[in-house]
Amino acid sequence: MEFLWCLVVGLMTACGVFLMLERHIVRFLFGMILVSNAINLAIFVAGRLTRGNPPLIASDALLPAAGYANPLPQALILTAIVIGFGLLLFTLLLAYRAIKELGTADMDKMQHAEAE
Amino acid sequence: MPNPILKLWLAFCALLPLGIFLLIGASYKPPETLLYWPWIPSLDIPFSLRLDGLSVLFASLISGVGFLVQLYAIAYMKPYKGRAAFHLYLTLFMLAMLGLVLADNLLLLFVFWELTTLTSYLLIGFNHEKEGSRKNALQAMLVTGTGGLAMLAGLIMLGEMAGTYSISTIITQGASLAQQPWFTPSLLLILLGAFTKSAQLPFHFWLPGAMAAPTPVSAYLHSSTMVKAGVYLLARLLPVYGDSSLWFTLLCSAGTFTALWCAIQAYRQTDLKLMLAFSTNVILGQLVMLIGIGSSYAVTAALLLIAAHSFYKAGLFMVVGNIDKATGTREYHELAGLRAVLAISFTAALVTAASKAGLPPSFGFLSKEYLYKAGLEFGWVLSGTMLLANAIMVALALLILIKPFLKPHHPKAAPLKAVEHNQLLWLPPIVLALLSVIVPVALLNWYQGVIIDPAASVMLATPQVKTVKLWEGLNLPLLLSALTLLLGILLYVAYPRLKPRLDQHLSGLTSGPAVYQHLLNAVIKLANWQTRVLQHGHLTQYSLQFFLVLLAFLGTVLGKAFWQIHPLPSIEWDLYYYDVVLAVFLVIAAFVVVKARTLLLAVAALGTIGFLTTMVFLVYSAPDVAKTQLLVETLLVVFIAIVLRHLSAVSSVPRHSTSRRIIHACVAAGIGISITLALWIITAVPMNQEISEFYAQTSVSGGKGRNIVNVILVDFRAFDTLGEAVVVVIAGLAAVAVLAGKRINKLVSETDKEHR
Repeated sequence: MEFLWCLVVGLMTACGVFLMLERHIVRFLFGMILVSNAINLAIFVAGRLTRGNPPLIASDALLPAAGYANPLPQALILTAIVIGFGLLLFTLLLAYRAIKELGTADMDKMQHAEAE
Repeated sequence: MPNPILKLWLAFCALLPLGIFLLIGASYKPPETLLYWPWIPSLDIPFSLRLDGLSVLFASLISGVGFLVQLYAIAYMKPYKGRAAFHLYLTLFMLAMLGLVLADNLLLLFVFWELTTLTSYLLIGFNHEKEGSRKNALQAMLVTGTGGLAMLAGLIMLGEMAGTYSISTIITQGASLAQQPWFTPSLLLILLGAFTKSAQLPFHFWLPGAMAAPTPVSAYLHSSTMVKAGVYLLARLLPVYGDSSLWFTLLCSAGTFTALWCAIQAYRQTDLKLMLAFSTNVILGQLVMLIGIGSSYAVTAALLLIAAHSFYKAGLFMVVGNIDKATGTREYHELAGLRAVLAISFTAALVTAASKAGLPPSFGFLSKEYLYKAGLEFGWVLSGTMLLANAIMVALALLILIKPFLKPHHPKAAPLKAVEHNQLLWLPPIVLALLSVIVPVALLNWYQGVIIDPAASVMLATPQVKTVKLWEGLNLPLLLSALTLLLGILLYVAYPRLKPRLDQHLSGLTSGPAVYQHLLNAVIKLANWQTRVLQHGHLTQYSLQFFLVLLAFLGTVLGKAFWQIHPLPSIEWDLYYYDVVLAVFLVIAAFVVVKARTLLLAVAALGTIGFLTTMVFLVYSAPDVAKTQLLVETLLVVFIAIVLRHLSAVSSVPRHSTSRRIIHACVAAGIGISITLALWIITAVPMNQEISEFYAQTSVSGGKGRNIVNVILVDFRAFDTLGEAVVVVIAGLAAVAVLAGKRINKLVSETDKEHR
């Protein structure tokens, strides 16, 4: 079943990359959100998928039940989601500000820093 | 700098070379002395120095002439700004040069080689307010620096061939390296370094250009030291390459052509300093030729000529510096009657010019005799060209002496200033003039025992040391010397008629500086072109470049991985219906984001993706991740929705052209496929569970928690989580700053106005 998710991750990444190549800055941002979601999923898939056996330890046991889901990628993804959120929020407001200041959402016209 | 400190500094700069000179004299025990300090032991590069005949000759010239030049510069540089810095540069240069000739490790030698290039750049460009100075300094640095890099490659090849970077060990291996495949490439590369440094044709042009430097620099760098670094390297490596016929051919042809061509050029100059500069090229050519010959006569001649030339050329440069001081010009046609104000300088000029012309019993005469002896062993061609070059040297010596000093001063010409009340202006040239006579007359046996014999023994495989004598009776070399003098006098007499004719014939030729300038312009053009192509200021093209590079990188890595994995892993589907439903909806939502023509639809689709991802985490046993994703996704959608009405509509921005979008689609598809393949390979190979198991096993005992993911986050990797929290706080603060910050639009439009 991992292969199905390999396909999904690939398709989501492709959509995200295509959006990141667009001229509209907000669409670029949407591409970034898509790619960031896809990469989180990729880390998750790389750690193998397990059905119905979360990495929890019963109150009377010292070890999780056999065949428990891999906890390490989950911890990593948790961190990635939160940091990704901070980054996306910042980028969103930066884009908002750029549109306000420069009067355009066209990235190819945002050239004030490199004006001759 | 306050006066007393400046005086102290100048005294230190002058006495340092003297101290080094004495130190070298005291620590040198013929035939050789080795000094060794570890420097970079991990790379096996020691700071090892070696004092033998050859390096002591150079080191004592560098420190001895260095002492005199420092003294001279104290007087000469008095009116200049920044003279403290000047003496610093000069001292640094001297130390680098000393390191170069004393180093016993190839890489150490290279380091000092480049240091001489850098410090000489500072010296040549000392008058940096003048554009010409900067340009010529850069030219000298680029030419010798490029050669130096080629030489580094050659030295590394040599070191790898020999299995050691210690010069003394390499020399003992001698010609046995000739069978190695890298022998010829290393020879050519090292020659490139030596020829650029020692200003051989076709790299000779930087040396006259370097005359933009103040005269003490010319007297030092361009007579006794830097330009001879190449000669030193060639002499040092003579035992390794000397038997190669390529070495003989290249050195002899480069040397003779340089000597002849630059002699003619020197004859054409009207600036006295340029005359001397080109005649330095001549001597360098002769030295390169002598080392190319590599016989015992040739080596002896080279060892004599190096010292003889250093003495008289440094002396003559100083005299020309004094002429410049007294008259404000160095133009041949404007100079006359200088004897009246420069009496002592005239004496120095007389003796040094005699040495330059090769009159007995001067040092120049002695070295020229041996030059002829060495040349005669190889037939008339070499000695014939040397004779012509030397005859021009005679003519130059007469040109410098007779008109400027002896012809009566023209009453209309600029008045002459008396400058010789400052002893330091005339003392150094007088000392050099004295040395030009005393060494050959009284100290020849000492010079033989201390310099020539030990140096010849390291330069020659089978040393048959020639005992040098000033007078060896009537023989062919003496006859050639007489012929040289005669021809030189003729050339002097013919100067007024010959020079215009030469100018007429030679001025149309392509000059070295022009070729250099063309090359430099071409490099700058190339740089501009690639900046235009890569740094064009279009953000979306930057993104495209980035993803293209990423695609190329992923493609190569995956291509290699695919070759190694055999057979390809089989695909196990093992799916439930809700897996497929989730997957299909995720893909549809992703396509909707791409196709959406309104932002609202896109945001809705993004939200859908977020919640579907949450479901995926939930299905595959990751409840904590699912919870976080749900919260974060909700927040993100809320934020976007708040800002949404301030963002421009999708239709407000034109799309890329269709062909461009096809390229984008291909790049995106390529990256997507790469990710799929990479992930497939990763999931197909067995996984190392060690770390996960460790966390699972120690979660209760070590972390006192039963949710393993939580324990990892707040216990095992608590610092990571703290860092994560800090990042989010900083992002929040930055977002506030972005929102509340001062409007920059006004600033931008104001600067725009200024530019227009």
